[in-house]
Amino acid sequence: MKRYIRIYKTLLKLNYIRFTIYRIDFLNGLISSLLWAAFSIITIYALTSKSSSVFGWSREELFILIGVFNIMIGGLFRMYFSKNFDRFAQIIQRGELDGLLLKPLDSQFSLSFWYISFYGVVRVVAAVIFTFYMLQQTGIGLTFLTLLQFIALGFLGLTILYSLWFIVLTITIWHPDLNNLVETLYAVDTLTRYPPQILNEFKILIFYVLLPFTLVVSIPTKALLQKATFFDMSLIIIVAFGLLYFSRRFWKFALRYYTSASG
Amino acid sequence: MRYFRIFLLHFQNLLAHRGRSIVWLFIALVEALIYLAFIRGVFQEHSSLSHWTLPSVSAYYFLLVATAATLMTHIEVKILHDDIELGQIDGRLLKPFSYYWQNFYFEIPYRFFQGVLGILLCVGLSMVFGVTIFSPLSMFQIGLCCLIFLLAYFISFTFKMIVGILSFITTDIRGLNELLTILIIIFAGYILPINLLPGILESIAYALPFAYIIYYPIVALLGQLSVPMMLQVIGIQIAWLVGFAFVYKIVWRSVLRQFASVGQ
Repeated sequence: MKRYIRIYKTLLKLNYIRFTIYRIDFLNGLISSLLWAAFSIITIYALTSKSSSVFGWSREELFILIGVFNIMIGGLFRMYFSKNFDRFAQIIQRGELDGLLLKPLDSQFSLSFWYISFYGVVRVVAAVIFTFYMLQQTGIGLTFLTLLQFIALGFLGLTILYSLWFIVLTITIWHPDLNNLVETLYAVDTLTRYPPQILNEFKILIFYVLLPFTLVVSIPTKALLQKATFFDMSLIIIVAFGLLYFSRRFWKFALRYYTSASG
Repeated sequence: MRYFRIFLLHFQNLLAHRGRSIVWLFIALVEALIYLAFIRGVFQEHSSLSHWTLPSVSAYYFLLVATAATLMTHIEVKILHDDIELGQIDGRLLKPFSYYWQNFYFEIPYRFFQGVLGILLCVGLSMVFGVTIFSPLSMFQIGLCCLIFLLAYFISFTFKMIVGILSFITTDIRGLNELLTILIIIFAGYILPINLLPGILESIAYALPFAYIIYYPIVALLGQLSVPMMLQVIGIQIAWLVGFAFVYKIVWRSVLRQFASVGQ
């Protein structure tokens, strides 16, 4: 474990050097990230323009949900994982996994934590300011315990999302040309911006497939709104650890079928 | 005939990688269903909104999947990646074919394949949800609908070609592309039918060309446009198309003058 923390520190340094060298790339990423943040707010503004509440969530609460989405998914997840998952799909498609498997490093670790996109920091800061502003507007006071709850549940939410992405991308071991699966995940991620109740509208199998995605942001937001129940917390803990365990087992299983494509 | 052969070659390539097209369609489906699921929540409190009812708005989103798969081209991505980043542009410019039509026949098989799948999906969804997607239209209206679709395709393609060839000079249009993607999602009618957008966004949407690529073809199919309105839409589409064709010619001449390639 200590060794991996040391390696991660080195990766942080290397990524910082990359950021200082490719500044235009940073600027491009930053502008694009902030544009998507603005887009997520405009979407809720447009969708709620004809109704003050949807599925029992008021307009202000939906804006808080968007704020938390931008902190967790748009900010932290994009910062730590998105670029790595883009690379994951490319590595499998180009047959470069062999080189990675030969390294004296856990393959899941090196596929998941290689890159860090520092522009995510700006989005996180902007989203935190937006969320606190919206909380003030709704007159909800924050206690230390609420914040602690939010951080813990947010961490579990990110674990769920990480595991789901990893499980889905592991499929590319069998179908390397499906590297656009990563785009599907970006699309499904948008589901986290909405209340879980929207899935009640499709009472079919999809409900159970997409349910974990809606837990990622909604339960931490409920904690901020002081509405999280014991059931919510138990659910997110079970789903997070269950999926993390499954993603690990599924990756190990898939590697048995990896036949190598590189030269 | 030679263009038809190019079309067949690209179609063969598409079939070899059909899984990718299915994934793209799945993405469009997921996005449309998410917006629909949310809007169904809004309709729990209202029986109708600006002439839209729950069945008609559901039909709108189902048709959105098929229409976007058919009409929204992504040729700029291919130009940036294959022609500029991988340096295939030299070979393409030396071919005795127009660059515009080469790309047109490259893109058509993808739109055709995804469009057919989109229509099947749309019909399947309408059966599952018990929604009628096609209104009874006269032969004349069907003819006008086809014309609206055809013009929408050419507007979409020519606009994306202009964006794509800008990469001849800038070598990277990702930032611009992200911005355009966001503008298209908001103003073409992906999030909501245009007349359900809040005031300022609705006014902007009518002033931009994107609604004429997605929104108007869908509402025409839904039978929400009278014949005079359809003719008006066609007139505006022609104006946008002529404008884009003119801009394309100017940009093409300009980028060719400035383009420098190291070749392969």
